[in-house]
Parts: sequence; C-alpha cells; structure tokens
Amino acid sequence: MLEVHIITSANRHLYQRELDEHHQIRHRIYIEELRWPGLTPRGDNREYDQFDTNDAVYLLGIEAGRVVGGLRLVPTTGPHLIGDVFARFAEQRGVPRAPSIAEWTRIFVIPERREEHTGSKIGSTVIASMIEYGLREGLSGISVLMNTFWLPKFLNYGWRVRPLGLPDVHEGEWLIAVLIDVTPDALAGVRRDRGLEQRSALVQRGPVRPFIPGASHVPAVA
Amino acid sequence: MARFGRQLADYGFHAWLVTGLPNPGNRIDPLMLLNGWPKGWTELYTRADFVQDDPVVAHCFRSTVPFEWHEASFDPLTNPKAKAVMDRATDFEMRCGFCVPICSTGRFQSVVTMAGGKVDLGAPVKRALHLMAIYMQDKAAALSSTKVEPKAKVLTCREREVLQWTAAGKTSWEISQILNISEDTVAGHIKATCAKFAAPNRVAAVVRALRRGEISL
Repeated sequence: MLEVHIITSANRHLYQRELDEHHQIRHRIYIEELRWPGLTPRGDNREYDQFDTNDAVYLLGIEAGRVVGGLRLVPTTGPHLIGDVFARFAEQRGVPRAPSIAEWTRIFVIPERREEHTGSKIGSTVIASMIEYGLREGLSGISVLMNTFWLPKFLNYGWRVRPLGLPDVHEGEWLIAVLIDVTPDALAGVRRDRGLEQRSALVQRGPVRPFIPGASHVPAVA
Repeated sequence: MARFGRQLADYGFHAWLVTGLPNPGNRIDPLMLLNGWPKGWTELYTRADFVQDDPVVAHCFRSTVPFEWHEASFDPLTNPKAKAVMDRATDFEMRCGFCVPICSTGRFQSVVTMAGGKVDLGAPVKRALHLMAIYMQDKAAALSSTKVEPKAKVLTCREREVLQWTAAGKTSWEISQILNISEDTVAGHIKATCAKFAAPNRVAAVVRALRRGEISL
C-alpha cells in the first residue's frame, strides 16, 4: 500500500535511506531523462539544488519500503524557484510570499510506475496528500511553476487556480506559474476526479516541524 | 462566453470553437461544447464530415502545445482532401488560425480553435490566448456536463429488459414467453423505445441504446 510520508528537518534522521534514494531518483529523472537545462550531471548521481535546505519539506510516496513518487514544498518567505529564478512568470499578479503559502516543486513518479493514458495513481495520491498536508498545516495556498499541460487537469479537479502571469515558452516548454487555493473542497475534488479513496495516505513518523513557524502543531495523522 | 468572443474579436478573430475531438471515423458535432463558428461553416463542416480530413485536427492529435494553423502542414498533392478543407475555410474568411490543444484526463482530447482573416498572432497575444483557451474549455466542459447528465437514462426498466433481449436476437414472441407478457406488450415497448431514440426500427434502437450505455452486450 502506498504511504505518503512527511519528512522535515525534525525527522529526516529517520529517513536517511529514503531521502538518498529520492535524490538518486531525481538525478535519473530530471538530469538523465528530462535533461533539464540548468542541472548538470553529478558524479555521485544525486540531484540537489539550492532549495534543498533545512526548510524544505518532502512528501515521499513509499511502497514496500521503496520510494515510488514524491514532491517538495518550500516556504515562499525564503529563497524559492518563482521568487528567485522565474519571477517573470509572475509578472501580472506578483510573486506570492507569505508564511501560509508553500511553493511546490519536483513532483515525480518513478518511470516503472507510470501508467499510460490513465495518469498515475501514485502521482494523484501524492498530489492529494499535498493538499491534505497543506490543510493540516494551515496553509492557504500553494504556488507552482509548471507545464501548462497541468492547468486543465487542475481545473478539472475543481481547484481554484489563479495564474500569476501569462504562460510563456522556456527552453521549448510552455510554462505557467499559478497559485492553488488549499481548501477541503480542493482535497475532495482531486480525490473524486482521480477516483482516490477518501482515506488519508499521509504518514507522520517522529517529530515534524510545523510549516508555518510558531504554529501550534496538529498531532500525528491517523 | 460573450466576453471571450469580444476579446477574440479585438485580436481579429471572428470565428472560434471549443470542442472535443472524435477518434477517426466518428463525428465531431456531438462533441462540440461552445460554437462561435460562422453558421454556414458549421453546417458545411459537419455535413461534409470535414473533421476526417482537417489537417488542423490531425495536428491536434500530434501536438500538446498551441500552434498556428499554417504549422499543421500537409502535402496538397498527396492530400487534396486536406487542401479542400482549408480552401473552404478561407471562403468563410478563416485564413489564419490558432489552436490550443487541451488534454484532461477522463475527457476527450479537446481543442480551442480560433480563426480570422487578418489576425494578431504576436507572442504576447498568443500567451494571452493560450491562457484564455484553457479556462474557456474548462468552463465549457463544466456547462455541458451539467446539461447532459439529467437525460442520461431515458428507458424504463421494462423497455430496457425488452431491448436487451432484442439485442440478444430474440423475437417479440420469444421475449413475450421469457418475460411472461403478451406479444403486443413487447411490441409496444419496442415501439416506445424506437420513439425515444428517433430510431426507424428495432435494430437502430439497439445500436443507439448500446452507444448511450442503456444496454450492454
């Protein structure tokens, strides 16, 4: 069964192996498979960027002890991709920066678990878990720079998605930056559209640092 | 929708369409969501079943990114039917066009297409059109799904039962014996079913019921 584990600086010592596996997967996907410009192959076959800091939160989909999918959230009050590198994609509405807004990057599903046409169940579960995590952490929104390909899918979930600027071509890909509202409806919508169970896949092991500094923390999820 | 049309008019587009794309051999008209095409063009396009040969449609299946009509290239010598479609389009002052293909899971491959005689397709306009098209398609799909759902099932249980046996090749007499009703009653159910589907006979009614998912094989 797929569990989506919350990994922050406070419990990362419990996930050394999984985090390392995730950096190897990222190297395989973003450098070897997608050949993202700006990322260079590394001798240790692990991909890191300047946003893999102590503030980053990883939601990793783990199945039978193996990392099969995941994503990363970072605070928008500090360095982040839209704010520091791609601000031109937020020309119209400006870069959202608030303690209650997280930036979402590096979503992945390992190649052998991607299903053609139907879209990956693992990917959907990780996305739904991200909204659920946002709700429990008291987030109001999640910003993301993404391929425009995703936008109709998110609208289809019934999500409120506000563009931060006009889409534009970057290195041959149409990208758009958006702000997604974190609401109970957003969670229900993605579960309904993707045919996911109502049950939570989120798992917390050990202490978790609150995303919003100083926020009183919600106890471990069931 | 009116605002969408006005906005497009500002850029020189007088014709636009939000539609699902049928698989080869199928018709496009049941998949049209919002139609801002010239009336005559819609009539001609559906009557002549242009969707089968339209090079712009073919390009939509190959592309996930927005493109201008002229990028949907074809060889007029080997594909005269494609050329005919594009020539007829110019008769309706649809010389230049822009397409935004949209792929959302669980729905048909869709497209928002817009055209005009002399249009502004500068980079900033394309960026705006791209974004507008995605939101427009979502709105159109949402509107049409609420419109279609209530009339999903039109047959009564008995009519469905009779038609299911018809699909299995049973005659009216055989069905009357199976269901323990009179042959006239069976004929009445079939007649009512044909009327509901505007079907000329029971074979056509079976086909339509299958396509709508009212019965299954």
